[in-house]
Amino acid sequence: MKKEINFLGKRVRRVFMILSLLFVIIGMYFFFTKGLNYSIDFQSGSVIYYKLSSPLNSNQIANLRDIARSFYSKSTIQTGSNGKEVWIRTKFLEENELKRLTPEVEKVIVKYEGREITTIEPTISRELREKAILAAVLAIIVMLVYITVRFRFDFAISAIINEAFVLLATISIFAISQWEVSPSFIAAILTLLGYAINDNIIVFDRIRENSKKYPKEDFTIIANRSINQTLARTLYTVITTLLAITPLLIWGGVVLRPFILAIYLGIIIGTYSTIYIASAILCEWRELQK
Amino acid sequence: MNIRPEIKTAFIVIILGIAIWILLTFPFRYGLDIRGGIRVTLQCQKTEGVEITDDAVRRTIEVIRNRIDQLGVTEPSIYKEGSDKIVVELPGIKDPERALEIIGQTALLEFKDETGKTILTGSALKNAKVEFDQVGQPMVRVEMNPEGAKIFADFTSKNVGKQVFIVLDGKVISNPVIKEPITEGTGVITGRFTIDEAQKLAILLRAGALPVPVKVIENRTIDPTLGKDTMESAYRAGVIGAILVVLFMILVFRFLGLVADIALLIYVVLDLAALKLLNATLTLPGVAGIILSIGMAVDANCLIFARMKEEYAQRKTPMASLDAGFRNALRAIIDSNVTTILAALILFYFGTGPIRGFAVTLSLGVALSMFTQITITRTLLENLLSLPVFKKATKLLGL
Repeated sequence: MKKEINFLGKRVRRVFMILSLLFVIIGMYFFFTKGLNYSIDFQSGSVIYYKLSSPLNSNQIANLRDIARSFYSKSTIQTGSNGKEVWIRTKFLEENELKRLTPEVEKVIVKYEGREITTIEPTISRELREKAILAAVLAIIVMLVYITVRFRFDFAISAIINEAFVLLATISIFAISQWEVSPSFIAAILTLLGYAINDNIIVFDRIRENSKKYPKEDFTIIANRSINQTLARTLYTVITTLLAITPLLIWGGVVLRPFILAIYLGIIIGTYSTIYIASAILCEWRELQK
Repeated sequence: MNIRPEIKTAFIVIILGIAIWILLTFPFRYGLDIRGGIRVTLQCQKTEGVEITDDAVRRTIEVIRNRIDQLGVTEPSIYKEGSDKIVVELPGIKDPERALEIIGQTALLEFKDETGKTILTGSALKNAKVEFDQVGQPMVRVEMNPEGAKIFADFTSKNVGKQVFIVLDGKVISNPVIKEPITEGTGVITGRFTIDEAQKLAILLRAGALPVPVKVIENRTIDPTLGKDTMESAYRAGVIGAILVVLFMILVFRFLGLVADIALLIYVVLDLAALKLLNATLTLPGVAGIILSIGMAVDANCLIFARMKEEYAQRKTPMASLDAGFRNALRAIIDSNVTTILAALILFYFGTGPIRGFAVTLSLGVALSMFTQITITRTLLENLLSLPVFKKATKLLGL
């Protein structure tokens, strides 16, 4: 028999569980004090985006800032791709205000490859946010029911705590780093919740199978063996998924980058949490029952 | 299921044939983020005496659709969102400002007498078109329906010498004096119009007034060059990603990996064909979802093959380990994929625009990959593993 790695030893798993909890607590502290950096889709405001063929110099950027601030004093100018992309963010501008702002801006930015203007009123954003929360809650309930039916109730609870951890950990990372949260972020979060539960269920399936095969064996040993047995598959899938999306991160353009970044995080968090959240909780639970 | 391998093979070949045919004949429908255009969200405004009911919103959408049809936009999409919002998406439009003016204007036309009493509204009109007077000044000729014509004839015969006020959205656009009774049910609206203004007015009058006024609360103008650039680079990145996955599978699982790669290729063909068949709108996050699904599709194979390796260590024949590998891995694959599809369904139900597109591509990808990576891989392997070559050369199988 191949040598097994002891993932779920009592001390190791408790250290990791406490560290995970600490991370989420710090993340939530940031979430409640600093909040998330919502993209314009979640808040009211106007953004004018330009893609340029040659980068702007600092003089031009200062000019743009002055122009935008003459409309709204807290406007910001953000550049990307070495100055070849510009975002001008202001408060919500009415049609006629936008019609005055853009010609002024285009006195500075004379030539551009592409332009995108987005304006959103606050009512929309509230609805979007509420829908996102509702979708997350519903997804969790549906998974809880499905796993209880297919496995056992304690499996379902561990899996849901695992999902909650993945969600909170991702939000923590975005709260601490202040990366922008856009609508595709919601799609990404739901995908990575799917990825995490996928990974989780593959391991739980092995635990279910091994528990039937060796009903007398200590549960923690069974769980640890199951993780070891599925380790090869876990590794392969992490690699193939990363291979598929990494080119997109490199060459896929700015628009998709936050989405792919969130998927990356999800793969790492999901793989980790299957072991140190889902399986670890299940072990604690079973040891308590003894 | 005990279906003979030949029948399964024939079934797969037929499906693949249909998919390739669809792929070659049907076009892709790209979302606004790729094609460019405008996306406007309108909110219906409550006014005196008019409540925002479902019916009012529906009729408003109808009028907006009529107006857009006259603009000649290809594949516009107009739909209700929430209780009182209307989303209008116009792909590939050249003059977004003009379109916005035409969509958003209430265009309530009223004929009023000198006391300000309304005699007729725009709903009494049958047609409106642009004409020119002797000096080439544009004007709009309106044609009334029979009841309208009768009311107007009555009114004009009683009020010769008085003024009639033609009011659009509360603003007087002309106030001619009635010289003689107008009985034939046509009239002209003159004003100091430019040709463009006259054309716009004619469109608005033909399509009718909005039952409730609307306000633009979200307005996105997306330049087509941006989306096209991203699409092209995403396409290239997707191809590179797929090649990397294919190579990895061969490297790790040898011949088994190659078979999984063939199934993966079939998966991509089926997936794209299904998207075309469903006329799904392909957005940028949707494209990312397709690429992601290529990486995740082979997960089933990794599970099965990893299991086959384990089983082979105990059973020693490729066929027996194939059977046990599939049988044992299937449970885990189904349980994990069903949960993913459930999550995707919730996304679809609550999501909007691009997110819905993403949910469609995700769940379609999971369902199809289960078919290709399990059924097709198995059928191929059942046919191939009985070949004499594999009796001894198990190294080739990567077991």
